[in-house]
Amino acid sequence: MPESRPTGQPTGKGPGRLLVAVYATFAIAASSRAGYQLATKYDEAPVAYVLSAVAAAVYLLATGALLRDARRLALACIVFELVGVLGVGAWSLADPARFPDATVWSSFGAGYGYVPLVLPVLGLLWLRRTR
Amino acid sequence: MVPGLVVALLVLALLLAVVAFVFAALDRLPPTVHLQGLLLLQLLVVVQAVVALARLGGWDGPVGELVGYLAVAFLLVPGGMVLALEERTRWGTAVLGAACLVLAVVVFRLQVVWDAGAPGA
Repeated sequence: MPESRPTGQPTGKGPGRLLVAVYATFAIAASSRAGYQLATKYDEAPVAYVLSAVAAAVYLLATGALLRDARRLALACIVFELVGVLGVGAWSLADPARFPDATVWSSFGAGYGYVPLVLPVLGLLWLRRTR
Repeated sequence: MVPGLVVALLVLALLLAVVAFVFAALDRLPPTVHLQGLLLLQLLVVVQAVVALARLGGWDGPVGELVGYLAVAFLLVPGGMVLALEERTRWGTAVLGAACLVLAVVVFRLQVVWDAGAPGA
């Protein structure tokens, strides 16, 4: 994204539409993963699975907020998401016993090609660009 | 599952993804044949889901996980189309490319999950 003046464009239009699509993909992926894990094997790794569900909820909210140009909600979700992927990423490396099964955010999203780490950064840049 | 079907799905999904990204890069809307390709791709996804569900009886793996992947695979192309519909620019085309790319990954994961629960595995 080249440096330029804020455009005032709606967050869900233009390049933002691609961002919404990637968020929607993660919303679906994280929701189905969390739903399956919580329903079938909650006892195996409760911390990991509850965090999966939190991640799923944040991705869902962020998708809707970006699509509808709800900037404050989008900002809150994306900041939460950045803190989440950094915090859970570090936690999963420091205390692997708590994470016998992976979440979207374990090891900074390595299981998803580190997209969960890059996505909030892109999201923040996009919000700034379209201010 | 059906090996030929998986290969066809992967090849078609990746091909449609590349075409979409090329047209997005050129800032042109893709031709009608690309849309027809997406419809064919979705048809293959449905056939794959029907085959997988029909063979569940002889399969010994995590059914919930398999059905989850089938459901995500089913949603990707229609979801991409909905998002691209009101964004008839290069970015809408890129959304279609991304949907195809993710579909290829999901089909691959689906095959890995399936093989793990196949008889004799």
